Amino acid sequence: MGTRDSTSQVQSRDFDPIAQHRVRLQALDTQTLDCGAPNKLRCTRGSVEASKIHRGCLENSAEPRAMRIAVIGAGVIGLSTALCIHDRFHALVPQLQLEVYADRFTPHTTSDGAAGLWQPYLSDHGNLQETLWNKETFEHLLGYLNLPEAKEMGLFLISGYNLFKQPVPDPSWKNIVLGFRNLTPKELELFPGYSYGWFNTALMLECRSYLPWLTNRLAQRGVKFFHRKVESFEEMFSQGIDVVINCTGIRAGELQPDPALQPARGQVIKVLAPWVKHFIITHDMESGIYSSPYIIPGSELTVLGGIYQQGNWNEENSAQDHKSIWERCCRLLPTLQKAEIVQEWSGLRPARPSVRLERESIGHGRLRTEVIHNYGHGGFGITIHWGCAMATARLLGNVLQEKQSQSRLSAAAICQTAEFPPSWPRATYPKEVLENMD
Amino acid sequence: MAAPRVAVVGAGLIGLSTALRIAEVNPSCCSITLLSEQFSPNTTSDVAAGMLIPHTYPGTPIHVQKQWFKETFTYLFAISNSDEASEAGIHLVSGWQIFKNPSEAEVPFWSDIVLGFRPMSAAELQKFPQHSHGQAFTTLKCDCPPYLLWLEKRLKANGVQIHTRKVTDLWELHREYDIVVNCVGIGARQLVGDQQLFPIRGQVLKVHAPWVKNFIRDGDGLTYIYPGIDSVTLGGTREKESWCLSPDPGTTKDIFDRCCSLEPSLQRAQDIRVKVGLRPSRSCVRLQREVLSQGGAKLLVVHNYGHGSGGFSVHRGTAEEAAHLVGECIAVLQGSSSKAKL
Repeated sequence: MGTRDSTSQVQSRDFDPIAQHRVRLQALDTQTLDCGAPNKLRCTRGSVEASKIHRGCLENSAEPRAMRIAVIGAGVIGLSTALCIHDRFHALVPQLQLEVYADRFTPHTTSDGAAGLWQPYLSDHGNLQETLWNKETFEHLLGYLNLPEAKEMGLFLISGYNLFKQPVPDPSWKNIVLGFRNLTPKELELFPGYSYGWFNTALMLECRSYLPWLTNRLAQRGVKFFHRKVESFEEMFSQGIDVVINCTGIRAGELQPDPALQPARGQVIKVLAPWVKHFIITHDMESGIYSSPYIIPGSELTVLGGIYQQGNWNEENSAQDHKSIWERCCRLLPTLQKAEIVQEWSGLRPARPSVRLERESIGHGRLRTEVIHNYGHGGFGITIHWGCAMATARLLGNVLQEKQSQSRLSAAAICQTAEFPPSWPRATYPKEVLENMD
Repeated sequence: MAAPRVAVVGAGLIGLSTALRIAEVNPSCCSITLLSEQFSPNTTSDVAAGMLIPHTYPGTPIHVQKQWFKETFTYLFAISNSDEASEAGIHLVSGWQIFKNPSEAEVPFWSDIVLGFRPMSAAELQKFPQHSHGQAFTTLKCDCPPYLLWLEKRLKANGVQIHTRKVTDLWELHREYDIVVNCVGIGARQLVGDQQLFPIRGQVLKVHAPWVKNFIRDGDGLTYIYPGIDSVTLGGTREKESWCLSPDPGTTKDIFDRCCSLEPSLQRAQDIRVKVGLRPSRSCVRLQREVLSQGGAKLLVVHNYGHGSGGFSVHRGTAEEAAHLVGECIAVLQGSSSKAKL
């Protein structure tokens, strides 16, 4: 960062032009700490050029301007990404100012409707990056399991069954979950019509609890929340946002068209069935993921599902889907017939061939700004969220590094060099300095 | 001869399940009445978690215990898979039995009867840093009171009469009944003076912690977490020869601490209730016939008590055997009656 006096308050976040002035003087002239001018801000010591540069140096050495990062979206992806970013950067980048913008907060997000079971799709389609993110998420959550606050997070272990009508290859996540094994013949007797299956212990992360937990953590750290719909990236940048983190899920297309992003509508019935202690997920290899009945016991209610409708934007509950879920789940687990139905919910999984997790520079020239996309997690958002949050934070790290280098050119070129002579030819001054001169 | 009159004394798990089995095996050939001073939720059975994890009786051959467990597991497995499961309080639960000492982690005789029995993986054991080995499996749990109430309902459907009555001496029943089935559990110490029967006091906590879905049992049998339908049972103690039925606050704290060290989220458990039960312990279950006689009168008795920690695990098997012994008694009565006719 260049030479600095160890006694100066270089890390101070308080704007103190006099102190900053002293620092700059030291860099310029190690013999004198006081330039003698009655008003330091109008110090004209030395030549006219020097005074202009000197003033320019004061401006540039003022408290670093806030680095405003806006996360759009407050589902599991938005909130966890915000927390990961804060964890990673708040100490390194003191001027970081994190803001969350959303028109829907818990309990009205897509994440809130999901049962919350950590389980990737059966096949990773060669997308090893996503398998790694899933693994990182599982291991991150395991770390919280033996803390009492796991309960506040809505996090707990759960065991259960994946059922098939024919043998299938082991999934990519077999060594991530605990105790993965095939089902024994006696276990399969419980599930007539299914001839093959897996047993394993995985995690539940109920967003009804996890999102408030994330929100509390963020609020405690001074992250600001804004309840409003963001209409465009430009809107954010025109307000002075430096970087936008786009975690808008199914509605990402409203900010920037993305034909690869499509709704995969799901509907669930939530019942009171506290005697059910295992998840049961059936698979029909022809119909596809989540179109076959599943039963997932939560901490209070048991979620019955099995609807996956590509291209259906309807968030209203369908009587036909209700009937289909109820009949198929009761056939799978007859004891459910005695369960009291408490709630019904529909939601749109933000389905995409792969997660969009990448940087994009928007605009050009002086208005060039950065968006980091993190959306399109389909029916595995909870499963993959922390791995994606960390990857997003890494991309932000690159952005911040680049921005810091840029701002260093202006300040450092002027102030950090002790041998700075006031009579340099103008042509040799850095571009940013020239632009800031009057 | 009129149909033999059978009285089953005791309305805990053993009394109810034995009466039911007698009714199922001997339909219409005898009348059955259930007599008890206590009913659910005030029996010893109501305190227990009802986990199907057998206790080993030193005085009974292993193959017999295995047979009892297998019959019980099969019977309950069928109920758990039917639409009566929630009413009967029967459900599957998976979990872990963990050991600090590798030598304790032997494969038990019942490993092939429960589901999916296997050693725990290293990754699974990471949840329990104090323990070095473990076994994972899936078994059944009988929640009480639901299971006992369901049994009572089945008894009534089978025409069994149920009366509240304190029996102080089996002989007092000899005029009204021909056969008495003694299922009084720990009460047999007083009722029939069995000195081989002794209590092992158990204190447990029943807490609201519905996010706990797996059982955890320390192989020493003292610390366990058993998730039920509406509560999680945290245990426990094994205090030989203690007859004290009052909860001890120091013990409550100790149980809670031990369970929280295995499952820290339990620190958030709510609605903590404390219960005490006296396990009716004996080196083996007393399953035998006896004839009481005074003057010319006789009373045929079938004993079925002394199940200790293992009542739930073997109840259907011992009920089956007791019903068989009752059948033998009926045959004896019918034999004497035909002799009398000659």
